[in-house]
Amino acid sequence: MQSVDRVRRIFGGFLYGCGVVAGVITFLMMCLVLVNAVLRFAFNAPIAGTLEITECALPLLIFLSLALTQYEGGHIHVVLVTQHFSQFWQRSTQLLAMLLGAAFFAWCSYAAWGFATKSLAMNEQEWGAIRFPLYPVKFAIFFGLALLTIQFVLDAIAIMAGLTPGQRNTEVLEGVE
Amino acid sequence: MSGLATGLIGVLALFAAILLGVNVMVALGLVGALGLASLVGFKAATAVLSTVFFDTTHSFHFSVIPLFLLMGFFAMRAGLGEDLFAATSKWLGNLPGGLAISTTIGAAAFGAASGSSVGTATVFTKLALPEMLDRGYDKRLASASIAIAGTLAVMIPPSALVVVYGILTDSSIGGLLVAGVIPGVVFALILCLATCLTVLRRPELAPTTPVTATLREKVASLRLAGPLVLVIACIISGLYLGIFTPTEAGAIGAAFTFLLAIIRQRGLRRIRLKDTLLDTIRTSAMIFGIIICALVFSKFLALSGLANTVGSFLTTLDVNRWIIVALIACIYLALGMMMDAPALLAITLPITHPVMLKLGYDPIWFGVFVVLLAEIGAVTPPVGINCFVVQASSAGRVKLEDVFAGLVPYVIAGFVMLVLLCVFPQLALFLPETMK
Repeated sequence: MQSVDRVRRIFGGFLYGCGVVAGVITFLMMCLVLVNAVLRFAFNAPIAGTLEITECALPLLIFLSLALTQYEGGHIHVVLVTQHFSQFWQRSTQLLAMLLGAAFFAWCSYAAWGFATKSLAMNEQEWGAIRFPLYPVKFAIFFGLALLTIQFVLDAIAIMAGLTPGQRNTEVLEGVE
Repeated sequence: MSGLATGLIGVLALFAAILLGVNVMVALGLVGALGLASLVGFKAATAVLSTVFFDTTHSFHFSVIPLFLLMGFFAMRAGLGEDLFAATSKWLGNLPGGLAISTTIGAAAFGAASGSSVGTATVFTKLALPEMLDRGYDKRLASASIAIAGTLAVMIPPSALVVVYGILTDSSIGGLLVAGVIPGVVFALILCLATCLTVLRRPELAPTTPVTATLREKVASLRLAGPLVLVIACIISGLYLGIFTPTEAGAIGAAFTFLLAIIRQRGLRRIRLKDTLLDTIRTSAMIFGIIICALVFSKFLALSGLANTVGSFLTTLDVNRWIIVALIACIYLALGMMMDAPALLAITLPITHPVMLKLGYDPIWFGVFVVLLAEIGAVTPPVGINCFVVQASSAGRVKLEDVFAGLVPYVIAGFVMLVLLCVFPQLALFLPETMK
């Protein structure tokens, strides 16, 4: 049980690092959009490429933080019915939820990998005021989805080992922070 | 199996999965993807999954969500709720039920900045509840006035929930944001009126203890609260006049609130910038996870023909269209008691939005209507989230029953607002129709 918890925590530490990177991207995006708006309004001199950079920043910040949110139990789920189940059935439904999550995001990761490799093969470009390759963003999406799949698998193993993964955003019982 | 039957099974499977505790995001995505696979094959479903994540998030306009959230978390970290409550209680404290009214107005302003119904309820429970109870206010009135005031956060722009509605229904985000202004202000006034009438009928609920403040003190109380209100007004007017886009409004609001936080907390250390950014990205991930998976589910429902069939059935019924609106309102109120607003919108809009369009309702009006319904659901038993938050943050000074019992006049006020929106749709539509 301890080794499962240790692996989960080590992986959580890595996800935390990804989350910090996503946070920095968010802050930089705020600065870029702000400066662009001010320069455009005051001097009619917007920063070239703001739109394209912001467009690519959003998927990075979302997909770098999806798995961290799952690690901390931040995705919404409803316990209105399951809270009345016995301990055994509560754990069984939790396990089912994690396995379904793992299966779905494994499918998504497979799909996103194909999409990213195609983009790389054709050297797909972002078109606009500035040009740059799009495939890194698509690989980042695959990376985020793969991390989320791993996190679901780890949560499923944790439940089987008798641990309780993050319960941060459980509607009804705890509801909110 | 016909597409319609597959669609029906999909809807039932979605609700079953959610009630069994599967993440709302996973339930939406998995049922949607499996449904697509059964209708058009595994390869086509995989093709949808390969593009939907990139296509949804690769957008300048949708970047508004993390920026509004960032603004809200900065406002919370800055402690601006304290300044707003201090200011409103100095200006309005002498009215009947003055502290409850001050809470409503303060929460409306703070909620506009934070955009979080739950966050606003938490902050004002800590700030206003002890003061009201110490002055002899009835527990039920005090706690309920805070729980309902939290709901103003998602009505008055900037509001991330309204943007979620815009993304899910492909409606104008700027128009939706501006549309919430008048209904939000009117709802705040109706809530104040509800407090006044309750206290006038039963004065013992809120003993009058004069709040003494000189004009100088009143003006001084606006030192930080004033600029926050000003920046919200600038954001709304900037959107209305077409000076900047919603995303730029989000960035300006976040940067300005960040500046206010630095001034109020005398530096960066107490703002805990890293934690604020992590809170922002976690909530953004949660919201976008639901949005993306809801879009997969929405594609499945559209392809199954269920949404279209339900729409056609309801529009050909020989009943007044307002009965259908009332039916939809009941569904939202019932579901709103069970789940968070973004999840509620994600699950229901693929069906209700096309129906409302077929019935001839404006999507922007429907957005305001739905958001109000979701928020009334958030304070209604058995599972009003805001009520739990108020009780949990009250350090044991109020019971959950007190909060629910005190909410009766405010829920009635909510229904009055719904009726007003139906009778006078221009409350929501005037600003979007005249904006540049």
